[in-house]
Amino acid sequence: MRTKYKFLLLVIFAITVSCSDYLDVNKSPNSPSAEDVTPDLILAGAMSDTYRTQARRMNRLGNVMMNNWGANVNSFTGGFSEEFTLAIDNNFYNDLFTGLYRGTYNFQAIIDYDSADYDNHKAISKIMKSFYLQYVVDLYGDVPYFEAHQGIKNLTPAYDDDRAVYEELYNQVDEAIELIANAGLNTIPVGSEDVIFNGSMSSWVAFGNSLKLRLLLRQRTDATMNGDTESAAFIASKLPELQTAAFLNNNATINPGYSSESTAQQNPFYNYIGFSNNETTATGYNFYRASQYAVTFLINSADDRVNFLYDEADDGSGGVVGHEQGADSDNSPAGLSPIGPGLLIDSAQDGYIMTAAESLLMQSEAQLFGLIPGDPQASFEAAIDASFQLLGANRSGYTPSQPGVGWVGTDSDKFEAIMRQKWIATNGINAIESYIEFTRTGFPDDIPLALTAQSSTRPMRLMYPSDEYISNSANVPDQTSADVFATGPFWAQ
Amino acid sequence: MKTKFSGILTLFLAFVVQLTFAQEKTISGTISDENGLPLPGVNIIVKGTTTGTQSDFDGNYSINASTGDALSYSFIGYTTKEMTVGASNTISFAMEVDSEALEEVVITALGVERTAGQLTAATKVVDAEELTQAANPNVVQSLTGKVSGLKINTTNNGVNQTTRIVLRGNRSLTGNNQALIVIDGVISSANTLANLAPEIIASTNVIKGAGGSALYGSQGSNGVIIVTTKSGSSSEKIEVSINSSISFEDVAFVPERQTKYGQGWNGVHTSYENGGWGPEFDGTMQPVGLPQADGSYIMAPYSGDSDNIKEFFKTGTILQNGVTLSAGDKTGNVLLSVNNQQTEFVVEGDELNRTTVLFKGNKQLGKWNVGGNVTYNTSSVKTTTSNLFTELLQTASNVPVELFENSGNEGHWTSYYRNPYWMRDNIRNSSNTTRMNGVANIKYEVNDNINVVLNSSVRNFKSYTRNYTNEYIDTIGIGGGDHSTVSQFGQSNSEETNIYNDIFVNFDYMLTDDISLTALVGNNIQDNMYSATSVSGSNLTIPGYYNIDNITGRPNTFNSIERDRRFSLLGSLDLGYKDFLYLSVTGRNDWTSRLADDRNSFFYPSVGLSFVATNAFPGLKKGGILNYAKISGNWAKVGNDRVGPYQINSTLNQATGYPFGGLNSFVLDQTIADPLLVNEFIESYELNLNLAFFKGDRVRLDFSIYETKNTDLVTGITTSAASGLANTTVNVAASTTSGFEIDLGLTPIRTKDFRWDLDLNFATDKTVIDKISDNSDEVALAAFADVGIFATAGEEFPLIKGTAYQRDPQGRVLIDPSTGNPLKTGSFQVLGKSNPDYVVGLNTAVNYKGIRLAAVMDYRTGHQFWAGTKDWLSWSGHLVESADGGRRGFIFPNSAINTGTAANPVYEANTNVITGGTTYANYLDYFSNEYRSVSENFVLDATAFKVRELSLSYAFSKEMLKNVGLSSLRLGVNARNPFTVLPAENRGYADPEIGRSSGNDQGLSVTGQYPITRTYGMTLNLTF
Repeated sequence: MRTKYKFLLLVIFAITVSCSDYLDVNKSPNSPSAEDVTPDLILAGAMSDTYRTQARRMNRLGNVMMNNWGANVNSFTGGFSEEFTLAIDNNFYNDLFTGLYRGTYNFQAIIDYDSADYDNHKAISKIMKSFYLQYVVDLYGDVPYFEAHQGIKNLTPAYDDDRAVYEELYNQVDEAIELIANAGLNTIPVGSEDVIFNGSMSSWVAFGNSLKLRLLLRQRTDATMNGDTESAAFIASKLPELQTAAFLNNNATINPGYSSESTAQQNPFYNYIGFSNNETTATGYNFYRASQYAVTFLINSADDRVNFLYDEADDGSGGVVGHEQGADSDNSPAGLSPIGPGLLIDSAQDGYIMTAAESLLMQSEAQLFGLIPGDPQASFEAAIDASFQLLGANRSGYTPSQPGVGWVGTDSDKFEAIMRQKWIATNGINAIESYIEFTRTGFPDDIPLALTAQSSTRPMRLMYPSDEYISNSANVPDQTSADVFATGPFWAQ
Repeated sequence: MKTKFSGILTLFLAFVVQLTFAQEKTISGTISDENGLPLPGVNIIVKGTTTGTQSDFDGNYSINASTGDALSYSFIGYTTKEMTVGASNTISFAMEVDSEALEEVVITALGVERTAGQLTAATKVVDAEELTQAANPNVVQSLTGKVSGLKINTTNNGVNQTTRIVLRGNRSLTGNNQALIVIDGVISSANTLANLAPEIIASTNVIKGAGGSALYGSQGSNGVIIVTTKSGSSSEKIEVSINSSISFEDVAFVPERQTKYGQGWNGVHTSYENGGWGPEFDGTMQPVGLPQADGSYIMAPYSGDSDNIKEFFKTGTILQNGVTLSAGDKTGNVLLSVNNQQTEFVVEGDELNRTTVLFKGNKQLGKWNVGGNVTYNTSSVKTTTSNLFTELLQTASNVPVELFENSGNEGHWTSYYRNPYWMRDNIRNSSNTTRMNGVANIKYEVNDNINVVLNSSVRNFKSYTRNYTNEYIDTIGIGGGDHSTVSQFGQSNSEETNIYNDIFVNFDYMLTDDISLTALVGNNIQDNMYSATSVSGSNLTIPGYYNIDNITGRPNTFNSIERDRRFSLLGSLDLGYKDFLYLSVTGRNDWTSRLADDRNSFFYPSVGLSFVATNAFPGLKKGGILNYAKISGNWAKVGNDRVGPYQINSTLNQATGYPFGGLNSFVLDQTIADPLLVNEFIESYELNLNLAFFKGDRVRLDFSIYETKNTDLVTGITTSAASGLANTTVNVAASTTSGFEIDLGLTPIRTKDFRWDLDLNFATDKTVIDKISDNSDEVALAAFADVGIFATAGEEFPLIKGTAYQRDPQGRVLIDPSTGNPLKTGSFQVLGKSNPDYVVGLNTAVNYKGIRLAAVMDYRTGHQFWAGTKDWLSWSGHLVESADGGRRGFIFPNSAINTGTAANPVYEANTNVITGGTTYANYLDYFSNEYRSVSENFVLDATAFKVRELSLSYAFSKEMLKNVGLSSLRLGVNARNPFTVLPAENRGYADPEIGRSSGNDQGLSVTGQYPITRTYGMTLNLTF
């Protein structure tokens, strides 16, 4: 009897155990799980994925808002209608918020990776995360930071004060530079997975310093214009170490190996604004056109860059012709200029995270106001040189002498000139930077709104995306479209 | 003494014998059935002898019997009657229907057979004749309109249609709401069912709610459709039957476009415009399109024909042919069926060729019953892309479409979109699929009360698809148009194998004379394997050579394997008291491989009770009015594990564009399922009432009311981007589904030769969302820029929301006095719902001698849909609305202006602010931008009345066929979807039943679906 029961129990036990083995088939053979993937395998993808948002949508927003680009009204109706009318709602460029947060999630995964051997990778990730999250604060104001990027552990991160985030971003870059300086013998070197600087940690230090400078320069407006003493104290405490810092003086380019092999492998800017990977089928090339204001300004200042930023008018009538933003096809020229050969080269062209011109102009501004040592005019001229060189244009003959364009006049004029040159240097490349700087400084101050604009000023930031109101409604602040015209991030006046 | 006695005895014996002989006489009479009509074929026997006869065609009989003899009258389906021969020589009477014997046996969950009285859940049986009456080659679609509570939507309206089958409304938000399909006792798929030839189906039983399908566990939560294929005959001779049908198909209607203005833009005629913003029609001859190959232009009168795009389509044909051989005897049977379908669609070059072979056998060997079937199905489909209809819609009504058949893209009628004839010939897809199913059913009778059943099946599905697009380079680009196309080629293989195994022990006992007990205990195992590989690339070097060597650039590659398993223990217990009270209890525990170890086991119970009042109180039947009354109810709690294999794993994916040379990189998945996911639960309550009135059940009323509470619904929720994720799948939501169905069946006329059956059914269901999540009240199932389908707490599901006009409290549209444009709401407003309030169906058949006339029609209303076609036609000037009023600015009807301030609004009727500007160009601008951005303009009433099937057939009688050697011959004509009536505002933009996906986001009708078609055809069925 007893043995019979034992046997029965054994059978039942066997069935139960084999039952759980039978059902143990749920590990995916198609995708690796987090334990299998080390930081060096994530870094490149993190960089190129997040760059897509910067090169395409952020760039496009900046170019339209700063009157660099218009629409080809001769072939398309309704182009840029929301941007021209300034009908801002929570769907307006909401992909900037989502794209930047989701892209930088991968940098967080590297930062959180549990190993002491990847300090260099972690340092690069900290710098890149701060680089992109600065744009998030600049475009939205108060945003989640300290509770962000936790994945399923926190689906509803709280919103943090923008100034606190800014200062933490600065500290993170400092920590990154320290990690690089103190990297031990076991630290795995960074190789080709660094698709920006190819593992050159000194370049990262320079880039980190330029980023710190940019954070301080923006925050400085809060101290000087808004009289915020805490900002002033923070800046004062950070300036000493920047006196001897090396800054970025070359273009920070990104190129994992862009090619025309498939649309996914093309340079994302080229694919968005230009052509498909057969180099002839237009994706955006037939739609984006020069804007009349930018063309007129560049021609009037004898700036050869106009022939590289824009091409000849598309009806073969010769010369560069721009579209007046908001005009319809009845009131526009028959031929308009598409985007030029300095910006659109081919599918394999480099992408620009930060141009040398941007970095040099920031140095010029800091030197002009005595924050760091050096000759502001030399930085200014070097920045213009770098911009001409990037586009392949001819610098000789460009000697602007008007105040606000060249290095003449009062300090205020020179400051305006820095912003004006920044506007030209970022045209088509990283125009969002110029738009943010405009919100900060008000320069260049003569750029017209579109004819159909329903507001007399540009928005100072974007509205929180509709996704946030759906998924994080308890934390996202209430907002009306009037708010984004009246107030900007903490550093705005 | 002895001699005297024997003498008297002999005399006595003689007397008795003589007496006996003298009393034998002929008894005659007429036997009739319960309706008073003569009943032929009744067996009459003199009890205790071998004397017997049968009643003739008129019910008359005569038999020799003696007074005092007992005559026994018997006939299948009637209670055997005994009459004693008395003084009279005539015995005539009416036989009584044996209600128990005539009660249909219905196949319920897991193949268990029940009589109608024992059923506790709402079920509907559709017999083979009804299924095939209109020769629809797709069995799933031929169920439309025949079962109340069953909604079938077509999701791909081409030559190879796919469908969505939902019973009683949408319970889950983002999970599967489609009914389970069971074929021959094993779980199968809707895809397999749609590919079965309708001729081989014997019966279809639809179990509407979870109450009846709880035995299927988490797969049965949405109701189940149980299909049984035909078995061989038992008539000991080989029967051959041949089925053949031919149908012609053409487009029913196309969206209506305005016929006042022709090609052009801003009021200027341009021969190569796709827009209809040109000058008014004047009938003069004008050039149309781009120059042809010889430099000339196609000339056509400048006038409008709204049906011109219909010219692109031709009349399609559907040919179906099949042969079935069956043979067998009392102990075994065998059946072989071969069926072929060839369809040529209304678009030239879209074809389907499908062959199905079914071999089925069954044999009783002592205590063993062994049976099985093998189905082999192969189909080949060639299509172009239905996106050509999207580009075809961009055509002004003056364009003579047919004349451009050979013009290619260079000579097309517009420079901005491609020539659909070119697309048809240069964008091609082909797919070949092979299905092989094998089912084995083995039964062993242990004794009279116990048997063991094994059902096993292996289904294998292989598919190979290939598609290509040829290159076109637009070198001229007239007017800025560019219809260049990048060449592309792709190929993919996929294979799926499903293994299903049931093993049960059945118990059948009579506990007492009155109490019966049936029980079932068993185990079920399922194993599913899926693998897919594909390769594709673009920019072919040599045109026409479709191979991966010919690609420039790196090919896109993909491979994937999926595996999941399921293990269950189940049992059911049925108790019956006499013939009127039945109790049914089931329980099933599922273990699934798709969820985490510590939460992958779920128990699903159900309880049902049925009471047949007319059997309990036969007195109710007195008076001949109430013939049958049954009340039943059930409660069930089942789960719905719609989490896919591997979904709870946290994984990384290759980043976009990688590998770049030797550099590979992976990024985190932005869509993640909660690793603690559990099954959804559906708790369902159902109450049914079945009544039949008058003899012969001339009036039948079935009523079923139900409510289900759906909790822990697995929902993909948009996640805050700040967390790094895009989407998470969690159990948070809850909804309640309720509704009822009424089926009224009438047989107003029934005589020997003439019978008219009428079935009216009414079904209504409503799902209301109780909760979405702790943080939000709404989740989008599908969203475009201006419109989307949402699940919103407190509202009906699915909900259509989009941008709308701002209105004042009186409902007038607010106009901006400075621009004349109507004001648009910032956030999405509720614009409608995509689930109808109710569906009314009518199903009728008239039989007169051999003629059968049948019709199926239904009407549904109370719901809305977003007409993507109307949106697509709006900006290019083709809408009928945009051709009113001379195409100049107008006063927006029923509008108002705010003459006060934003804080203190004062609304006054608008009498002077013009919308749409003063010029043609302004008007165009208004329609392209302002009008188009308000989705309210495109959400239309989805009411539809459809006549779905009309069929007329004639079955030759046996006498007519005796000389020809056939045992049956039937000829018929039929029509499918002959009439569709839509409300005036839906100007043929779309049939609201065509959906864009088989998911729950119903209600968005996007462009890129072909228009609906009507078919007319003939059928021939004969057997010998």
